[in-house]
Amino acid sequence: MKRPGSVSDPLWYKDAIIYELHVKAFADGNNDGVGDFGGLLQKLDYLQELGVTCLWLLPFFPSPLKDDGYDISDYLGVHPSFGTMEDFQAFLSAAHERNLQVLIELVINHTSDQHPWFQAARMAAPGSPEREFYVWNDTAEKYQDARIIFTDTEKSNWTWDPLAKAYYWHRFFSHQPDLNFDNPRVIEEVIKVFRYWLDLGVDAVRLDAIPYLIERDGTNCENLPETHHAIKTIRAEIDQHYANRMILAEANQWPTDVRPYFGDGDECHMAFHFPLMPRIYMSLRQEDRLPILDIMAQTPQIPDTCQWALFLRNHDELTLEMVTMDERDYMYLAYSADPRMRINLGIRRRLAPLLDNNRRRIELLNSLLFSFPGTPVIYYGDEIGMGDNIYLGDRNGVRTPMQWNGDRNAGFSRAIPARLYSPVIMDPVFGYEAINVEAQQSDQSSLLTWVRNMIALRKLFRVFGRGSLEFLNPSNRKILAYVRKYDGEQVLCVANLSRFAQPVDLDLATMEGMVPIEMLGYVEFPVITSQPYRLTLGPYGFLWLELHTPSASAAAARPESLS
Amino acid sequence: MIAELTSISEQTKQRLQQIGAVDLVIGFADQRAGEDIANLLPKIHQGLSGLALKGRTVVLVPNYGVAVGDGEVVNEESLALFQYSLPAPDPSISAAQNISGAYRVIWRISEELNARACAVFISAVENLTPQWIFQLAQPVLERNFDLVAPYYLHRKFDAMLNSSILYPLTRAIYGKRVQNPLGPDFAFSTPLLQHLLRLDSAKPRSSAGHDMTLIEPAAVVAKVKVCQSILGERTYPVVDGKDLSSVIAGILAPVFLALERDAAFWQHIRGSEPIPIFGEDLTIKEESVDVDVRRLLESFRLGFSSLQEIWGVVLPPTILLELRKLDRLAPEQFRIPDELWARIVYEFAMAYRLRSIARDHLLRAMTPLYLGWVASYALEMEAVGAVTVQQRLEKLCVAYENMKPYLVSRWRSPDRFNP
Repeated sequence: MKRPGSVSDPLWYKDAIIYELHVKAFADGNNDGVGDFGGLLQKLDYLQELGVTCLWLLPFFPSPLKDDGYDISDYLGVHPSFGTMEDFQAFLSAAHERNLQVLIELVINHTSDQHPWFQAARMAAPGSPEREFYVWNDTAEKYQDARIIFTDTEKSNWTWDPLAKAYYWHRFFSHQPDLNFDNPRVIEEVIKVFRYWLDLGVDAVRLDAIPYLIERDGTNCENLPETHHAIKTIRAEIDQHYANRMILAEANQWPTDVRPYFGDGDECHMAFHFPLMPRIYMSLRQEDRLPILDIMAQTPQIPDTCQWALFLRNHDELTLEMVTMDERDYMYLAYSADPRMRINLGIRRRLAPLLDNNRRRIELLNSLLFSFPGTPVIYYGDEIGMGDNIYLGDRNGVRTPMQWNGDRNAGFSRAIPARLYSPVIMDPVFGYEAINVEAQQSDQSSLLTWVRNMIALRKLFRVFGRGSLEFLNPSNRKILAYVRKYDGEQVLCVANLSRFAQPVDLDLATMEGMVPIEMLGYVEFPVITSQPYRLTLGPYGFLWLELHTPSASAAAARPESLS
Repeated sequence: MIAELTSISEQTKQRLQQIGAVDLVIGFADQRAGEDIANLLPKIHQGLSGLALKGRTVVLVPNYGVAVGDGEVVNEESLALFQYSLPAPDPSISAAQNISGAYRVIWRISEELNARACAVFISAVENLTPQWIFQLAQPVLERNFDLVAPYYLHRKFDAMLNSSILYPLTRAIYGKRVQNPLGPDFAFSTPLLQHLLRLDSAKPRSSAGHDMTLIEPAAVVAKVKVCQSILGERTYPVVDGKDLSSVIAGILAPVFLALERDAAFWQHIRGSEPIPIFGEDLTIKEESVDVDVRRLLESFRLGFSSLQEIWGVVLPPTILLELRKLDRLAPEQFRIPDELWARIVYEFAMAYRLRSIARDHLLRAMTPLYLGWVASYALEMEAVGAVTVQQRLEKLCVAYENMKPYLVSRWRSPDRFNP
């Protein structure tokens, strides 16, 4: 008997709206300056009202916090700063009561160097079972074709451990030794970790840094067949014991390299579409749909049970790994005038500052996020247009406290400001007195209200989460137009990437006779004919048009049989 | 109390197992069913006589908490009469929630018996005729329908809340012309009642919307086969004028909640379609009724003067202006246009969704408007016959359907800055 999840639809993640948040940054329930599960629980009503359906929690496990929790020292606990296991379970139950699914992160590629497994490994004799939990070598010469990911801080993927008297392998920071997935015992232990959290009732797990599980000489040590085998093993274990759960791959790779992470529907249910994100920004700045079309043309079909995860921004930098050198240079020039905005191969900024706080641009990009094929992921605070702080180190500038109201500490915590894990944003444009939830809740015209309406609208149409995509090819390249289709639903999306009004003639001859209805206002547009369909869009304007047959009626409710 | 009704005891299950193969379950919720068995059984036998039954029929009568335990009290070859535990109606919860309790336990028993069909009678037993039994059960047993909704023969001032809001609203929303979407007397196929039980168990037990009276919309969303059967007249419970607000709130709350739940379904439905009606469409003799329109209008005007604050939050300026004009009309000229009425109902549904004010207060604040509609209708229909009344109500339904794009638009862009 499989353990059921909190939802009955096995494809629930296709219709989900994921909201990414850091427990430490969201709400401080005990007023010690650090967000916690008690605080998060108090804010669940807000999230439910926003309309999101799945909460993605960044790592909350015990950790030295040298990499914001991605350096886990105990997979089976809760970091004391964020609460207790009981607090987590109370949160999980409360989320499920509100029909919110919960997605947690398991960083299985590596642990913290403080993890007992690593401490035991470095003391153990070479070749011993304890030692074999990690990847060791006598020199730093092995796997030379593997690139260095954190170029700003790391010079090598090997670090000398004086206690072990050997080099250990790490694809990220040197305090994050990679687990040895060639060792079956490692996979066994990792599966135990999965089962622990799935038994508690979590609905989904994000697999961090999944391409790097296995290393082989003469390769770049990414996306190796043995890595896929390890993931299939984990997935099979989940499928055998649990129903309606989901695993999400973080594989910052080209679409063709991500495709194998779906397998034949037997690896990950979902994977992030990393290269699309920078190209959305590129298309916007260049006022040209080509970068988007180009990357979508390179995006292969995926199994029916699988889904892309789409995002505009997240807790990391706006990554520019999956672009060409020229494209990267363009993006740096376009979106990071101040060198402090750059980190590694990316730009550490939030959505609103990236777009010069232009409401129309923010709405346009969100309209793409909500209407492209995949499940949208919203980064906490972006629904109110929160800003960032480029003077904070690493990527902490986009991980500042959630701005709830205009009170002390933005309503995030009652602690004295000096105790906060991070200063709140205080500048005149993005500061908490100007940008906060409370103010936007009482403002019918706020970004928050708009985002809430768009989420509600998207949830009315399964076509967005499950439908096919077909781009149109109007001569005006500042216009991006595409049709989504699913089970009788048809939606035409048209977006103006330009800062000026644009005309467009769309060839909709194959839809002759259909009636477009603008979806937000339910406004009927002229019937489609064999002639070009002419539209004019305002600066950064977009239209979502549901296409009805003239005789559309209650026929949608044709009798079927219950089983 | 509701929790007690979610399952049946092991002891009851054992007794049910002894009954054998069952075709039809007939469940009564009226406590007088048990007291009036001698009078009831002949009607049931007569109703069953026209049905092609292969197994036994089980008649369920409630004991209303009398400590006799569940069990068989009549055991005939073709019929068993079974007494089941149903607590007396709880005045602290809405009538809809009390009725839901009865549905739940009858469905559970029917499911346990694996009957082919289950007919539930919530109405007072005096209403029951052999025709009711036959007409409800036959479409499930012999025509493969999953839900049989009741089609009652109304006098022109019967079931006003149904005629003014429930029927036209659910018809416009769900696209099926079902005269009594809230029944309450229905017949179910086993797959449908199992589906309804699954829906029921998926809801938070303590939620305000925890009632199962919205059966017809749930069946339409599940895309099962629905029909109506003409049952004849039904005596409606008399509502004390003082309780009217509670009744309105109790009935409309689950309807408006269902709009939220089913939004992804109904926003794709345009227009409506008739569904099969079985039975003989008898006409009932209209008796002359004196409607005290003056009191109804007084209630409307009192509401207009005292509820401005609430109505101002719920209704946009054009509607408020129309209401102001109505307030100034002489009684004989008082008419609420259908489009205006439909917009008012839709705006209250929106305000309910948006929680513009406390939901119970909101629904109660609708009472004077409803009484205004009744006054308007009474003035218009005072001297006309049944056919004209039907045409008039059909016109109202069409207005709801025509105004549905207005609701969809408001639903998707709930900005208060609207006309």
